[in-house]
Amino acid sequence: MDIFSLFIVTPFTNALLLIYALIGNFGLSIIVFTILVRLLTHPFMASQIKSTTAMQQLTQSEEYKKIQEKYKKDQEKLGQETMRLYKEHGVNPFSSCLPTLIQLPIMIGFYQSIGRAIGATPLHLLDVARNIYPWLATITPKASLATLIPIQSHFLWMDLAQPERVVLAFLPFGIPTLAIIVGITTYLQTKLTMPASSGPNDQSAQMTQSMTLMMPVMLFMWTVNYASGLAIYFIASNLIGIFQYAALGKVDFRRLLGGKGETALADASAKKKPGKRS
Amino acid sequence: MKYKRILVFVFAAMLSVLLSACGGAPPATNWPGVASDGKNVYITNVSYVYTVHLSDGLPITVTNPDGSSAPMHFPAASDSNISFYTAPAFTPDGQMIVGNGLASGADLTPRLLYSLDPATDVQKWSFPESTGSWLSSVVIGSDTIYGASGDGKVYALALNGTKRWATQVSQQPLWSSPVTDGKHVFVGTVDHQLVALDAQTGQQTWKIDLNASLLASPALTADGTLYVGTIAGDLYALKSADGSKIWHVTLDGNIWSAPAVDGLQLYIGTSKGTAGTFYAINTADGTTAWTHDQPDSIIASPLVLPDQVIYVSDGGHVQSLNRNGTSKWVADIQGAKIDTAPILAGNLIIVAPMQTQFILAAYDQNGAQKWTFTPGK
Repeated sequence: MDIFSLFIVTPFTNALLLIYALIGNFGLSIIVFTILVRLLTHPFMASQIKSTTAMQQLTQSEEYKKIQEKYKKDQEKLGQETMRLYKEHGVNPFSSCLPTLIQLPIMIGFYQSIGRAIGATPLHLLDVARNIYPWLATITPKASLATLIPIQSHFLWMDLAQPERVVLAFLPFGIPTLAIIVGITTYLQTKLTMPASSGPNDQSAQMTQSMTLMMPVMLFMWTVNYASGLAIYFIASNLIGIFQYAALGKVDFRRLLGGKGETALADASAKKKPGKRS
Repeated sequence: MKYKRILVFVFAAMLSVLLSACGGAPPATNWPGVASDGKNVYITNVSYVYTVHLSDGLPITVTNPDGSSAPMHFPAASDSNISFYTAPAFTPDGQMIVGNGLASGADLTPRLLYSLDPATDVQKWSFPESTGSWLSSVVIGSDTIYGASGDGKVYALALNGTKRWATQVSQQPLWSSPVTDGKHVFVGTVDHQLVALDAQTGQQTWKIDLNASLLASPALTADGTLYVGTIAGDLYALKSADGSKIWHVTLDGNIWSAPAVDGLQLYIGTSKGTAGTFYAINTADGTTAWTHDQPDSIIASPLVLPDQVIYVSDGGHVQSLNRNGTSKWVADIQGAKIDTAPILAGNLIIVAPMQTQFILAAYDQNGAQKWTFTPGK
């Protein structure tokens, strides 16, 4: 067994099966597990937001802009001076990426564990049987392999092991409603939580705006053909993500109405001078 | 900046395609199926059904329009909407029946059951009504084909492919082949039921809940006894007339396969974690005659010969035991997993390993390897 399976996918699969054993509904188990994973990774997310805020405050400062202007023709010197400024203000440019890098394997592991737990064929089920922890049944007898199988993969109108479609009599194809909801919630999350632009030439803001359109399309493409259990995970994850940002005061609902909005980031930037991170 | 935005779009579009390719329906990977008509050996290996000569393991070839020859397989060209995992079955009138095992997906298209001419791989007919994948072989009655499908239905077809009846026996996919005595059709379900249907009408005759998933077919003997195991390790002997229990024993491990019955004893392997145990059970009362410990799992049914019992294991071992449980010979296939039941074809024992270069290996009854078959060679 590879390291990723041993430390991420297998523990996640067991946790998912344990939750399923306790609540008896695979769709709800995915939602509960998503909440748990989001809670687990919340400190990383909060740290990421804090780092991004500090970075943005710094890049909006007069001192930063002066350095950019002064050394615009000497890239090497510009880099050195920028790094000096980061160091002076206690900002690590990589600290906003690190939490994302930590979260990524957790998310990929979770997605793989959903696929594994469903077990669509005897060979897949054999894989589940091999990787289920024997002590799981000591927590609840319902978590033994013999009791767990078959996983009831029906949730609402969906078979979580299969891609979801709503079939209407007058249409020759099924409508992927769940994948569409994934796209919409991804758009909402990105739109509501993206940082404010510091100006017309703010490259990172322009990239973020591109991602606002790209991410929903990407996740729609991903979920449209995959088991609908994964779509449930994305929808729950997006909604919980919006809630987490809102709890941290980083959601600007005015963006949904078409206004530019001002995030707490921008507000903080206007009111505060950059300083050492506490 | 516009250029950079275009780059982001192009990158994201490429990533979308990549992710969509990575996704897809859950792959219906399963172990291969192998069968023989006494002349050739047929193996289903995901994309194709291959045919090889029993005598030497060389593939049957076809002549291309340009005069060159190539191995014969069905379909002639790979089709991403077709996957085969089950052993082909043969009708009395010489048809080879095999079903598409591709996972049911968003395309809402049926999974076809094919009738082929085994000599030419030419398709005779296909049965289009199943919306679930075919993960178990069909069983052939005197003039009827019975199949258990991934849509939870048992189908009965005439030999020309027309439907006689279809009965929904489970809301879960059916993974194991039905068995029949001509009067009834018996099928196990993953939602714990053993169901008996009237072979003529498909009406349910009886049903019994065995408290755990049935992953394999029951074994049916001439005296009207059904022997069936569950994932919980429970082995049952039941009367085929009404499903009443004759005896029940609990073995150590999960039962993944049908027992092989030979008169006074039946043989079955179990899987417990990554290890297994092979059992000889007295059919009269379910007592254990002897056991043989196996360091890896036993997933497939054994093969019983007059002087030996052969089973395969998930660690790539082909183990032959004398009828008293002592080891006769062992053949190892390095790095392989063998989860497909071995078959006897002519005088040869045929096994179908996974995760190794060749997909078929033939042994004589002393364990000497006679040939292997590698697709594309």
